[in-house]
Amino acid sequence: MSLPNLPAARRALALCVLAFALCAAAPAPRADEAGEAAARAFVSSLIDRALLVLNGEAAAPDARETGLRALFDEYFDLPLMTRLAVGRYWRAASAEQRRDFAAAFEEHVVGIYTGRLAAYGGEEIALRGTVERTERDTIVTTEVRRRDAPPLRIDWLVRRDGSEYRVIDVAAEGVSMLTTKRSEFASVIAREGLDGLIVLLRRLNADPSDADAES
Amino acid sequence: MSASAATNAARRCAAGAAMLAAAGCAADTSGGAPATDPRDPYEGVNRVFFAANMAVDRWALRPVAEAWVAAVPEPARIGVHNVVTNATLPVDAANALLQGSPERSARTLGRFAVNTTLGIGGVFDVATGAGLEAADEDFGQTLAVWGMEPGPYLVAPLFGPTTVRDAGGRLADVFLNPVNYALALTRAPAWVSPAIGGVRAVDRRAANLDAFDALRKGSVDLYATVRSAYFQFRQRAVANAGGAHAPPFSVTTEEFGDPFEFLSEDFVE
Repeated sequence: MSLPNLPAARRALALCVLAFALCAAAPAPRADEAGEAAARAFVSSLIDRALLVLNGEAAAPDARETGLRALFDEYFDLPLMTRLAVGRYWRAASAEQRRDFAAAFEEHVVGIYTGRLAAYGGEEIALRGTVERTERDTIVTTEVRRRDAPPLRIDWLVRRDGSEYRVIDVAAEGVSMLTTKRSEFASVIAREGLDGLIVLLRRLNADPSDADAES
Repeated sequence: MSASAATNAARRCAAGAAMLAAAGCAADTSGGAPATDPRDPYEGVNRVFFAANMAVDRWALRPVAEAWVAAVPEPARIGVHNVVTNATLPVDAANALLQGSPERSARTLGRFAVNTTLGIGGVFDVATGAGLEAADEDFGQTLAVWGMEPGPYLVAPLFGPTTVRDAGGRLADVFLNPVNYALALTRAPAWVSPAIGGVRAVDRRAANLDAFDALRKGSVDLYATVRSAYFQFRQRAVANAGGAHAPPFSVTTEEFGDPFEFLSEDFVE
């Protein structure tokens, strides 16, 4: 693996993309292209920094988790993801339920990503392209190149708010985290209510070792 | 095709499905849960089979897959994986053709020819280096391309998550698979077909050990998680039918499938 060079190469690429975005904006103001390039640069910088955390000297589990949590706060639109995950049940939720759920959900999502990324073994991550989904939303496609396995496709859904960008969902091989979570949560809420879901999430957060070991 | 070949093939199919079954099982503590997903009208029954499949995975398939990984050196496992995936390439090729992608069909057949001969029965993958990539198509996808809706979600014993359309597709694929005819023609012993299915199931389960664990540990309702993932996987597979290897720069979400479709749904902000 060309690991040592990777963050530098990635940063160089990010700069190129950013430079392209700036150049493209000046002479031929194609808003969509500039937007796509900026979204690409945004995801690129997120990957750079995630790799720095994962490959860092202090890549002890604790340091990793702290680093990834910070990145999560900075790059993801957690309040929006929280509302989307609950879906139509959000309207009926009380302020207290919303607060409790938001806290439990953040913990849950950070736990999922730190767990998944713990398996990261230095694979190369390449930017593949962007698709403008709506005026505000851009899908940035990346690829994890694996040894002895086909590349793993990761799509990032990036939303623009003014000049700010935030990730609002991630899909691995076409399976979106929020779509899956919405379905999972709706199923629990229908049976046990939002309070029941909050209890379940807290239990899972407290002991993520083996949720259904008794099965 | 003789009746016994069909039976064998069906058995093989069932064994191969054990992994899918395994890939989708959960302990659900609730009893008669209300159906929450319009695609899943038989949720009550499905959950029972899901739990049963999960138990089969826990006590049989997963331990065997773990032992397989622990005991067999990687090159040998890769060889076995190559053989079982190579053997079904004619099915992929036939479906690619039925979906109106003759080029992908031809490439897949070319891969089959190269790996079966130069790759010594499929043990070695020499075709990928030559740019002969496999299409991953089945008759369920073909039916979808022809306009058929998936129908109700089903979890069958050992068969795993599927839909009415995809279950029919898997049965049809049995008849599209030359291996089944070859077994019938050569009067292969009755255990050969289930054995092949078993090897395939273990191979697939072994490839998903960590991924499925992660899914299971991160879920508050594994049944619903697997159901959602199944529909997303299938939608993606069908959307890719036109050109799985098209560069994403030039594709639109209509062509490639939109994993973030839920944003278009009516949700409360």
